[in-house]
Amino acid sequence: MIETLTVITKAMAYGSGLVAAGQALCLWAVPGVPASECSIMRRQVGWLAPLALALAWGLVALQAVFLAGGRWQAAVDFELWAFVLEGPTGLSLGVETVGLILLTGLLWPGRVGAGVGLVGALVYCLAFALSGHVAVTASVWHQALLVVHMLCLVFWVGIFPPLYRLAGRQPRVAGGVAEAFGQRAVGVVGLLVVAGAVTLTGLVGNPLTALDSDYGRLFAVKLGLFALVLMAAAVNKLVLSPALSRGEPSAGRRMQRSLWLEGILIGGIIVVTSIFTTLTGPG
Amino acid sequence: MARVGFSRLLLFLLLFTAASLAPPVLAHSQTTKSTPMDGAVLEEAPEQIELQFDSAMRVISVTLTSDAGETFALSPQGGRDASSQLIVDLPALSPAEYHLEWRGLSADGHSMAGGMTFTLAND
Repeated sequence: MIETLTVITKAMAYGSGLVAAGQALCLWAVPGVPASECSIMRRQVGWLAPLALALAWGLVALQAVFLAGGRWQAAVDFELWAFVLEGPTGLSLGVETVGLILLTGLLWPGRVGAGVGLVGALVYCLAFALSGHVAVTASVWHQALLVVHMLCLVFWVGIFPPLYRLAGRQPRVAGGVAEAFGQRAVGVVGLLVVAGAVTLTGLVGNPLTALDSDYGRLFAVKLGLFALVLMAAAVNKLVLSPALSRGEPSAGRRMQRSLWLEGILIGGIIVVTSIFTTLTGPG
Repeated sequence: MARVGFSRLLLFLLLFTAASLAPPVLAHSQTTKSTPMDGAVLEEAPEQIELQFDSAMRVISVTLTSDAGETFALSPQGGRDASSQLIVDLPALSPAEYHLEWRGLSADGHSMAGGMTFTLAND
Protein backbone atom coordinates (compact mmCIF):
# COMPACT_ATOMS: atom_id res chain seq x y z
CA MET A 1 0.00 0.00 0.00
CA ILE A 2 2.58 2.56 1.16
CA GLU A 3 5.00 1.38 -1.56
CA THR A 4 2.39 1.79 -4.30
CA LEU A 5 1.34 5.20 -2.98
CA THR A 6 4.99 6.27 -2.92
CA VAL A 7 5.53 5.15 -6.51
CA ILE A 8 2.41 6.98 -7.71
CA THR A 9 3.28 10.16 -5.75
CA LYS A 10 6.84 10.10 -7.06
CA ALA A 11 5.65 9.57 -10.64
CA MET A 12 3.28 12.54 -10.28
CA ALA A 13 6.06 14.67 -8.76
CA TYR A 14 8.41 13.77 -11.63
CA GLY A 15 5.69 14.31 -14.23
CA SER A 16 4.60 17.73 -13.00
CA GLY A 17 8.18 18.90 -12.38
CA LEU A 18 9.43 17.73 -15.77
CA VAL A 19 6.58 19.36 -17.69
CA ALA A 20 7.04 22.62 -15.72
CA ALA A 21 10.80 22.70 -16.34
CA GLY A 22 10.31 21.64 -19.96
CA GLN A 23 7.93 24.49 -20.72
CA ALA A 24 10.45 26.94 -19.26
CA LEU A 25 13.11 25.56 -21.64
CA CYS A 26 10.77 25.54 -24.64
CA LEU A 27 9.81 29.18 -24.07
CA TRP A 28 13.47 30.02 -24.68
CA ALA A 29 14.46 27.47 -27.26
CA VAL A 30 11.49 26.97 -29.58
CA PRO A 31 10.63 29.93 -31.84
CA GLY A 32 7.24 30.57 -33.36
CA VAL A 33 5.08 29.92 -30.28
CA PRO A 34 2.32 32.59 -30.30
CA ALA A 35 2.25 35.07 -27.41
CA SER A 36 -1.15 33.83 -26.24
CA GLU A 37 0.21 30.28 -25.99
CA CYS A 38 3.34 31.50 -24.17
CA SER A 39 1.13 33.07 -21.56
CA ILE A 40 -0.81 29.80 -21.11
CA MET A 41 2.53 27.97 -20.68
CA ARG A 42 3.65 30.45 -18.02
CA ARG A 43 0.40 30.07 -16.10
CA GLN A 44 0.67 26.28 -16.33
CA VAL A 45 4.15 26.34 -14.87
CA GLY A 46 2.73 28.61 -12.16
CA TRP A 47 0.66 25.72 -10.79
CA LEU A 48 2.69 22.71 -11.96
CA ALA A 49 5.86 23.78 -10.11
CA PRO A 50 4.10 24.24 -6.71
CA LEU A 51 2.31 20.91 -7.27
CA ALA A 52 5.65 19.19 -7.92
CA LEU A 53 7.06 20.86 -4.81
CA ALA A 54 4.18 19.71 -2.61
CA LEU A 55 4.47 16.16 -3.96
CA ALA A 56 8.25 16.11 -3.48
CA TRP A 57 7.88 17.07 0.20
CA GLY A 58 4.96 14.69 0.55
CA LEU A 59 7.36 11.95 -0.46
CA VAL A 60 9.43 12.67 2.65
CA ALA A 61 6.35 12.03 4.78
CA LEU A 62 5.65 8.80 2.86
CA GLN A 63 9.26 7.68 3.30
CA ALA A 64 8.93 8.27 7.06
CA VAL A 65 5.77 6.13 7.09
CA PHE A 66 7.55 3.36 5.17
CA LEU A 67 10.54 3.41 7.53
CA ALA A 68 8.23 3.19 10.53
CA GLY A 69 6.81 -0.04 9.13
CA GLY A 70 3.70 1.52 7.57
CA ARG A 71 2.61 3.46 10.67
CA TRP A 72 0.74 6.50 9.30
CA GLN A 73 1.40 8.65 12.37
CA ALA A 74 5.07 8.64 11.33
CA ALA A 75 4.17 11.03 8.48
CA VAL A 76 4.59 13.83 11.01
CA ASP A 77 7.44 12.26 12.98
CA PHE A 78 10.07 14.94 12.45
CA GLU A 79 12.83 12.81 13.94
CA LEU A 80 12.26 10.42 11.03
CA TRP A 81 12.12 13.38 8.63
CA ALA A 82 15.56 14.38 9.91
CA PHE A 83 16.88 10.88 9.14
CA VAL A 84 15.42 10.98 5.65
CA LEU A 85 16.71 14.47 4.92
CA GLU A 86 20.19 13.85 6.29
CA GLY A 87 22.66 13.24 3.46
CA PRO A 88 22.05 13.13 -0.30
CA THR A 89 18.24 13.11 -0.15
CA GLY A 90 18.14 16.37 1.81
CA LEU A 91 20.63 18.08 -0.49
CA SER A 92 18.78 16.94 -3.60
CA LEU A 93 15.40 17.99 -2.21
CA GLY A 94 16.80 21.38 -1.19
CA VAL A 95 18.13 22.02 -4.69
CA GLU A 96 14.90 20.73 -6.25
CA THR A 97 12.93 23.10 -4.01
CA VAL A 98 15.03 26.07 -5.15
CA GLY A 99 14.61 25.02 -8.79
CA LEU A 100 10.84 24.68 -8.54
CA ILE A 101 10.47 28.02 -6.73
CA LEU A 102 12.58 29.71 -9.42
CA LEU A 103 10.37 28.11 -12.08
CA THR A 104 7.41 30.06 -10.74
CA GLY A 105 9.36 33.15 -11.81
CA LEU A 106 7.72 32.54 -15.18
CA LEU A 107 4.61 34.14 -13.72
CA TRP A 108 6.41 37.48 -14.07
CA PRO A 109 5.94 38.76 -17.58
CA GLY A 110 8.81 39.47 -19.94
CA ARG A 111 12.31 38.15 -20.34
CA VAL A 112 13.29 38.55 -16.68
CA GLY A 113 10.59 36.11 -15.62
CA ALA A 114 11.50 33.77 -18.47
CA GLY A 115 15.18 33.98 -17.47
CA VAL A 116 14.43 33.15 -13.84
CA GLY A 117 12.31 30.23 -15.05
CA LEU A 118 15.15 28.99 -17.25
CA VAL A 119 17.56 29.05 -14.31
CA GLY A 120 14.89 27.19 -12.33
CA ALA A 121 14.75 24.46 -15.00
CA LEU A 122 18.54 24.07 -14.90
CA VAL A 123 18.61 23.90 -11.08
CA TYR A 124 15.69 21.44 -11.09
CA CYS A 125 17.59 19.09 -13.44
CA LEU A 126 20.74 19.43 -11.33
CA ALA A 127 18.84 18.02 -8.32
CA PHE A 128 18.52 14.62 -10.03
CA ALA A 129 22.28 14.14 -9.92
CA LEU A 130 22.57 14.83 -6.20
CA SER A 131 20.86 11.77 -4.75
CA GLY A 132 20.51 8.09 -5.49
CA HIS A 133 23.20 5.79 -6.79
CA VAL A 134 24.60 8.27 -9.24
CA ALA A 135 25.44 10.66 -6.39
CA VAL A 136 27.24 8.07 -4.28
CA THR A 137 28.83 5.55 -6.61
CA ALA A 138 29.31 7.32 -9.95
CA SER A 139 31.83 9.96 -10.97
CA VAL A 140 31.21 13.69 -11.38
CA TRP A 141 31.30 13.02 -15.13
CA HIS A 142 28.33 10.65 -14.82
CA GLN A 143 26.49 13.15 -12.64
CA ALA A 144 27.03 15.83 -15.29
CA LEU A 145 25.76 13.45 -17.97
CA LEU A 146 22.66 12.75 -15.93
CA VAL A 147 21.94 16.49 -15.76
CA VAL A 148 22.33 16.69 -19.56
CA HIS A 149 20.05 13.65 -19.90
CA MET A 150 17.41 15.31 -17.72
CA LEU A 151 17.65 18.63 -19.60
CA CYS A 152 17.07 16.80 -22.89
CA LEU A 153 14.12 14.93 -21.41
CA VAL A 154 12.44 18.03 -19.98
CA PHE A 155 12.92 19.87 -23.28
CA TRP A 156 11.18 17.00 -25.03
CA VAL A 157 8.18 16.74 -22.68
CA GLY A 158 7.91 20.52 -22.39
CA ILE A 159 6.69 20.88 -25.96
CA PHE A 160 3.78 18.44 -25.55
CA PRO A 161 1.19 20.75 -23.89
CA PRO A 162 1.63 23.78 -26.19
CA LEU A 163 1.89 21.64 -29.32
CA TYR A 164 -1.21 19.66 -28.34
CA ARG A 165 -3.24 22.83 -27.82
CA LEU A 166 -1.95 24.49 -31.00
CA ALA A 167 -2.61 21.36 -33.09
CA GLY A 168 -6.27 21.61 -32.06
CA ARG A 169 -6.71 25.38 -32.48
CA GLN A 170 -4.13 26.61 -35.01
CA PRO A 171 -2.84 23.61 -36.99
CA ARG A 172 -0.63 25.61 -39.36
CA VAL A 173 1.05 27.46 -36.49
CA ALA A 174 1.46 24.09 -34.75
CA GLY A 175 3.21 22.82 -37.89
CA GLY A 176 5.75 25.65 -37.70
CA VAL A 177 6.36 25.06 -33.99
CA ALA A 178 6.61 21.29 -34.51
CA GLU A 179 9.17 21.73 -37.29
CA ALA A 180 11.22 24.22 -35.24
CA PHE A 181 11.13 21.81 -32.30
CA GLY A 182 11.95 18.87 -34.58
CA GLN A 183 15.10 20.55 -35.86
CA ARG A 184 16.38 20.95 -32.31
CA ALA A 185 15.04 17.61 -31.15
CA VAL A 186 17.29 15.58 -33.47
CA GLY A 187 20.38 16.71 -31.54
CA VAL A 188 18.59 16.67 -28.19
CA VAL A 189 17.31 13.10 -28.59
CA GLY A 190 20.75 11.92 -29.72
CA LEU A 191 22.30 13.53 -26.65
CA LEU A 192 19.55 12.05 -24.44
CA VAL A 193 20.32 8.54 -25.71
CA VAL A 194 24.12 8.86 -25.43
CA ALA A 195 23.98 10.47 -21.96
CA GLY A 196 21.52 7.83 -20.73
CA ALA A 197 23.58 4.93 -22.12
CA VAL A 198 26.85 6.19 -20.63
CA THR A 199 25.22 6.84 -17.25
CA LEU A 200 23.64 3.36 -17.24
CA THR A 201 26.97 1.72 -18.07
CA GLY A 202 28.64 3.71 -15.30
CA LEU A 203 26.02 2.52 -12.79
CA VAL A 204 25.65 -1.15 -13.65
CA GLY A 205 28.66 -2.05 -15.82
CA ASN A 206 27.62 -4.39 -18.61
CA PRO A 207 23.89 -3.72 -19.28
CA LEU A 208 23.35 -7.36 -20.34
CA THR A 209 24.69 -8.64 -17.01
CA ALA A 210 22.43 -6.14 -15.26
CA LEU A 211 19.39 -8.02 -16.63
CA ASP A 212 19.95 -10.53 -13.80
CA SER A 213 18.76 -7.94 -11.28
CA ASP A 214 15.35 -6.35 -10.60
CA TYR A 215 16.93 -3.00 -11.41
CA GLY A 216 18.28 -4.23 -14.75
CA ARG A 217 14.97 -5.80 -15.77
CA LEU A 218 13.05 -2.63 -14.93
CA PHE A 219 15.62 -0.66 -16.88
CA ALA A 220 15.00 -2.96 -19.86
CA VAL A 221 11.26 -2.15 -19.61
CA LYS A 222 12.17 1.53 -19.57
CA LEU A 223 14.35 1.15 -22.66
CA GLY A 224 11.59 -0.78 -24.45
CA LEU A 225 9.12 2.03 -23.75
CA PHE A 226 11.72 4.55 -24.87
CA ALA A 227 12.10 2.74 -28.20
CA LEU A 228 8.33 3.09 -28.72
CA VAL A 229 8.54 6.80 -27.85
CA LEU A 230 11.28 7.25 -30.43
CA MET A 231 9.09 5.62 -33.06
CA ALA A 232 6.14 7.88 -32.20
CA ALA A 233 8.46 10.92 -32.27
CA ALA A 234 9.81 9.89 -35.67
CA VAL A 235 6.25 9.67 -37.05
CA ASN A 236 5.55 13.14 -35.60
CA LYS A 237 8.61 14.64 -37.21
CA LEU A 238 8.57 12.90 -40.58
CA VAL A 239 4.84 12.59 -41.26
CA LEU A 240 2.63 14.69 -39.01
CA SER A 241 4.64 17.93 -38.75
CA PRO A 242 4.86 18.33 -42.57
CA ALA A 243 1.17 17.44 -42.85
CA LEU A 244 0.32 20.19 -40.33
CA SER A 245 2.40 22.71 -42.25
CA ARG A 246 0.67 21.74 -45.52
CA GLY A 247 -2.67 22.36 -43.80
CA GLU A 248 -4.06 18.85 -44.27
CA PRO A 249 -7.53 18.79 -42.66
CA SER A 250 -7.04 15.85 -40.30
CA ALA A 251 -3.40 16.59 -39.42
CA GLY A 252 -4.19 18.48 -36.20
CA ARG A 253 -6.30 15.63 -34.86
CA ARG A 254 -3.66 13.04 -35.82
CA MET A 255 -0.92 15.08 -34.18
CA GLN A 256 -2.97 15.36 -30.98
CA ARG A 257 -3.54 11.60 -30.96
CA SER A 258 0.15 10.95 -31.51
CA LEU A 259 1.13 13.39 -28.73
CA TRP A 260 -1.28 11.62 -26.36
CA LEU A 261 0.36 8.29 -27.14
CA GLU A 262 3.87 9.73 -26.78
CA GLY A 263 2.91 11.42 -23.50
CA ILE A 264 1.46 8.21 -22.09
CA LEU A 265 4.54 6.22 -23.09
CA ILE A 266 6.78 8.80 -21.41
CA GLY A 267 4.40 8.57 -18.42
CA GLY A 268 5.15 4.84 -18.44
CA ILE A 269 8.87 5.54 -18.39
CA ILE A 270 8.36 7.89 -15.44
CA VAL A 271 6.35 5.24 -13.56
CA VAL A 272 9.03 2.60 -14.17
CA THR A 273 11.73 5.05 -13.08
CA SER A 274 9.72 5.82 -9.95
CA ILE A 275 9.55 2.11 -9.15
CA PHE A 276 13.23 1.44 -9.40
CA THR A 277 14.34 4.62 -7.70
CA THR A 278 11.93 3.92 -4.83
CA LEU A 279 12.25 0.23 -4.22
CA THR A 280 15.45 -1.06 -5.66
CA GLY A 281 18.81 0.05 -7.00
CA PRO A 282 21.67 -1.20 -9.10
CA GLY A 283 23.35 -4.07 -7.28
CA MET B 1 -13.91 9.29 -28.25
CA ALA B 2 -11.93 6.22 -29.31
CA ARG B 3 -8.71 8.16 -28.57
CA VAL B 4 -9.77 8.90 -24.99
CA GLY B 5 -10.74 5.26 -24.44
CA PHE B 6 -7.39 4.00 -25.71
CA SER B 7 -5.48 6.55 -23.61
CA ARG B 8 -7.41 5.62 -20.49
CA LEU B 9 -6.70 1.96 -21.13
CA LEU B 10 -2.97 2.69 -21.45
CA LEU B 11 -3.03 4.82 -18.30
CA PHE B 12 -4.80 2.04 -16.43
CA LEU B 13 -2.22 -0.49 -17.63
CA LEU B 14 0.61 1.76 -16.44
CA LEU B 15 -0.89 2.20 -12.97
CA PHE B 16 -1.72 -1.51 -12.80
CA THR B 17 1.86 -2.33 -13.71
CA ALA B 18 3.14 0.05 -11.03
CA ALA B 19 0.87 -1.46 -8.41
CA SER B 20 1.65 -5.05 -9.31
CA LEU B 21 5.40 -4.63 -9.68
CA ALA B 22 5.97 -2.87 -6.38
CA PRO B 23 5.72 -5.68 -3.79
CA PRO B 24 8.04 -8.21 -5.50
CA VAL B 25 10.64 -5.54 -6.11
CA LEU B 26 10.52 -4.55 -2.48
CA ALA B 27 11.55 -8.09 -1.61
CA HIS B 28 14.97 -7.14 -3.00
CA SER B 29 17.20 -7.03 0.05
CA GLN B 30 20.76 -6.09 0.79
CA THR B 31 21.22 -8.80 3.44
CA THR B 32 24.24 -11.02 2.72
CA LYS B 33 24.26 -13.23 5.82
CA SER B 34 22.09 -13.86 8.84
CA THR B 35 22.54 -15.68 12.14
CA PRO B 36 20.47 -17.77 12.59
CA MET B 37 20.20 -18.54 8.88
CA ASP B 38 17.11 -17.51 6.97
CA GLY B 39 14.65 -20.43 7.12
CA ALA B 40 16.41 -22.16 10.02
CA VAL B 41 14.49 -24.50 12.31
CA LEU B 42 15.81 -24.10 15.84
CA GLU B 43 15.37 -26.21 18.95
CA GLU B 44 16.46 -23.47 21.33
CA ALA B 45 15.27 -19.89 21.25
CA PRO B 46 18.01 -17.55 19.98
CA GLU B 47 18.95 -14.62 22.22
CA GLN B 48 19.73 -12.33 19.34
CA ILE B 49 19.66 -12.05 15.56
CA GLU B 50 22.57 -10.77 13.54
CA LEU B 51 22.33 -9.63 9.92
CA GLN B 52 25.16 -8.57 7.61
CA PHE B 53 24.56 -6.11 4.78
CA ASP B 54 26.63 -5.61 1.67
CA SER B 55 26.94 -1.91 2.47
CA ALA B 56 26.30 0.42 5.39
CA MET B 57 22.64 0.83 6.30
CA ARG B 58 20.87 3.00 8.83
CA VAL B 59 18.22 0.67 10.18
CA ILE B 60 15.24 2.64 11.47
CA SER B 61 12.77 -0.05 12.50
CA VAL B 62 12.89 -3.77 13.25
CA THR B 63 9.79 -5.88 13.80
CA LEU B 64 9.49 -9.53 14.77
CA THR B 65 6.15 -11.19 14.01
CA SER B 66 5.07 -14.72 14.89
CA ASP B 67 2.66 -16.81 12.87
CA ALA B 68 0.36 -16.62 15.90
CA GLY B 69 0.08 -12.87 15.33
CA GLU B 70 2.37 -11.68 18.13
CA THR B 71 4.41 -8.61 17.15
CA PHE B 72 7.52 -7.25 18.86
CA ALA B 73 9.13 -3.90 18.02
CA LEU B 74 12.88 -4.37 18.48
CA SER B 75 15.75 -1.91 18.76
CA PRO B 76 19.06 -2.34 16.93
CA GLN B 77 22.04 -2.55 19.31
CA GLY B 78 23.85 0.24 17.48
CA GLY B 79 20.84 2.55 17.39
CA ARG B 80 20.17 4.26 14.06
CA ASP B 81 23.82 4.81 13.13
CA ALA B 82 24.99 3.57 9.74
CA SER B 83 26.43 0.06 9.97
CA SER B 84 26.90 -2.98 7.77
CA GLN B 85 25.75 -5.14 10.67
CA LEU B 86 22.41 -5.29 12.46
CA ILE B 87 22.20 -6.99 15.86
CA VAL B 88 18.92 -7.14 17.78
CA ASP B 89 18.29 -8.74 21.16
CA LEU B 90 15.23 -10.93 21.22
CA PRO B 91 12.61 -11.30 23.96
CA ALA B 92 11.77 -14.75 25.36
CA LEU B 93 10.11 -16.63 22.50
CA SER B 94 7.71 -19.53 22.53
CA PRO B 95 7.59 -22.16 19.76
CA ALA B 96 6.28 -20.64 16.51
CA GLU B 97 7.41 -19.45 13.11
CA TYR B 98 8.90 -15.95 13.27
CA HIS B 99 9.52 -13.33 10.62
CA LEU B 100 11.92 -10.48 11.28
CA GLU B 101 11.57 -7.40 9.09
CA TRP B 102 13.88 -4.38 9.05
CA ARG B 103 13.51 -1.05 7.27
CA GLY B 104 16.22 1.51 6.78
CA LEU B 105 18.11 3.91 4.58
CA SER B 106 21.06 3.08 2.37
CA ALA B 107 23.99 5.48 1.99
CA ASP B 108 22.45 7.09 -1.09
CA GLY B 109 19.17 7.79 0.71
CA HIS B 110 17.11 4.92 -0.74
CA SER B 111 14.57 3.30 1.53
CA MET B 112 15.44 -0.36 1.92
CA ALA B 113 13.67 -3.29 3.52
CA GLY B 114 14.51 -6.89 4.16
CA GLY B 115 13.89 -9.74 6.50
CA MET B 116 14.45 -13.32 7.51
CA THR B 117 12.38 -16.15 8.88
CA PHE B 118 13.11 -18.83 11.44
CA THR B 119 11.08 -21.44 13.23
CA LEU B 120 11.35 -22.29 16.89
CA ALA B 121 10.32 -25.94 17.11
CA ASN B 122 8.36 -27.55 19.92
CA ASP B 123 10.49 -29.24 22.59
